[in-house]
Amino acid sequence: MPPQIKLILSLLLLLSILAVTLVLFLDSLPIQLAFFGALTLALLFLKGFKRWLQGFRLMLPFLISLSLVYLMFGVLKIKTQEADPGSISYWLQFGLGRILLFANSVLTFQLFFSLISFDELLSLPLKIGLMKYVILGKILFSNAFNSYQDIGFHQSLIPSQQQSKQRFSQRFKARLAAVLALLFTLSRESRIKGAQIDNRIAACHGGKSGGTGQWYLNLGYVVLVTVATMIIPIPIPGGGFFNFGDVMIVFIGLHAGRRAGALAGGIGSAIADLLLFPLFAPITLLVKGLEGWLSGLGHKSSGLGRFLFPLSGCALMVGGYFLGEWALPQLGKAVAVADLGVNIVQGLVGFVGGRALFEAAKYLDI
Amino acid sequence: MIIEAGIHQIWPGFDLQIASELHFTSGLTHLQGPNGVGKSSFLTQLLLPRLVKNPAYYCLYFEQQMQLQITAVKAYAALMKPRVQVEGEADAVDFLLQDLLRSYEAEPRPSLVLMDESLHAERIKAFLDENIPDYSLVFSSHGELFPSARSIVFKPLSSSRSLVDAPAN
Repeated sequence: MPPQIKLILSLLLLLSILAVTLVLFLDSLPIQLAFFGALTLALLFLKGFKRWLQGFRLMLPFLISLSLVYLMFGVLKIKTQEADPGSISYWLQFGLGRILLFANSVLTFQLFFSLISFDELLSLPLKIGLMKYVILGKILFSNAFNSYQDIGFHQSLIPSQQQSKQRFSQRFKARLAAVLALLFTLSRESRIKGAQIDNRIAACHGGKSGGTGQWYLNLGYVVLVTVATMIIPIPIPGGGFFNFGDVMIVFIGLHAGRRAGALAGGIGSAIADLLLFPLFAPITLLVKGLEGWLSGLGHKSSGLGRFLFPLSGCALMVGGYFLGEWALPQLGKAVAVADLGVNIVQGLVGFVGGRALFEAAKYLDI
Repeated sequence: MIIEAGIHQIWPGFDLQIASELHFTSGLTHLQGPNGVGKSSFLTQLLLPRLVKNPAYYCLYFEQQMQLQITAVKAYAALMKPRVQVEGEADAVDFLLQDLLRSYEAEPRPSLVLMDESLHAERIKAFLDENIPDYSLVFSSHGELFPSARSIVFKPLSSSRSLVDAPAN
């Protein structure tokens, strides 16, 4: 089947399932159960048991923690949507529907990505101006995952990392050091490969070579945010997951400015959400984009601005998720309330870590 | 640290036949053999996985092409020791050796140092001799760097297998 037809059909399938499970039959437990079964069977058939199990394992801690939150809501008699005091059975039934809905959104995207491969995207008849993003994106993604593993290996062989007693701050800094090394590696790779692609395009399609290079630097930042978000996906109660994405967003805003911060924060984080927990992707696109933009206001500031703008970016992220999750019927106030504390921690870690990376990066030629 | 005798798969389609049990507890060990015979793979695929996160040893590894290792060390130094400048290979080697010394002083343990065709071999050994009383150095090189080292010889048996033997010195 030609790749463009396959892509259109896969997109239609994706949108149809999302429309049925997330909009039309949002509160129907039988429909959610039926789709959960059908999607699981389809993925078992397409990916095989081993790979299906890998995907399910990633989701499982999240689903368990979400169940616990709904149980807690029942125990605390948190008010229902109709403002009645909710019982344990109400919240468990409501929670089961939401858990299935959440699982269905993840499985639907897993199905889509198992139908369409990156190589098929490369064979689409895209204009060269768009295709260059796909080509470089693929190179940077695979490079990022491989490099991060190797960097982690080398840093684990630094003797002070082998000492038996490590303080939390030391472990956190060590993790930041791995992210910083990845940042350095990927920035260099995006510059080298991006310039090569530009030169090739100039030679084969005419036009000038040696542009500003901003497109490939921005793409490198997007990939960095996606990878930093996906590398340490720790599921947390209620929704979302703790990660190093915000650290990277704050850093990119401070280092490269508003535009780069907004693009990398919004698109990079949304891609990670689509690949892991897609229900959050629309909120993420907006909220993290704004977080990057606000952090970027500190780029040309000096002194206090470099603290206040990233801090307000992180605060906006916390508030944005709270309001966004509350407003979305697929998530609701339960998830918003449960997520608040974790997002505050995530925001603080993002601010502290992003600032630390920004200071440390001065010693590297990034 | 012991590597058992027998056939050890390194990559799909390539394995090392270890003739007799190999011990790396102390002293100098020289991995000898022509290019492509599996010396680097022996270090990275057999020795290192047994040493990483082994609380009995400090493990230090100097890879052949240090490019990514320099980046990893440079970033680590920028966060942990921002006043220490790490520019190139020599700086990275110095940082790692000083870090080993600090760690050893804080928490003494035997140290196992692996070098793969390192350009800084003499300097590394001199530092270890002077500062770390309890170390073992395993290195690969084409020439005879340190005459007192015992040899482990790599010989190609076929395109998919090499023999690793430790003749009595």
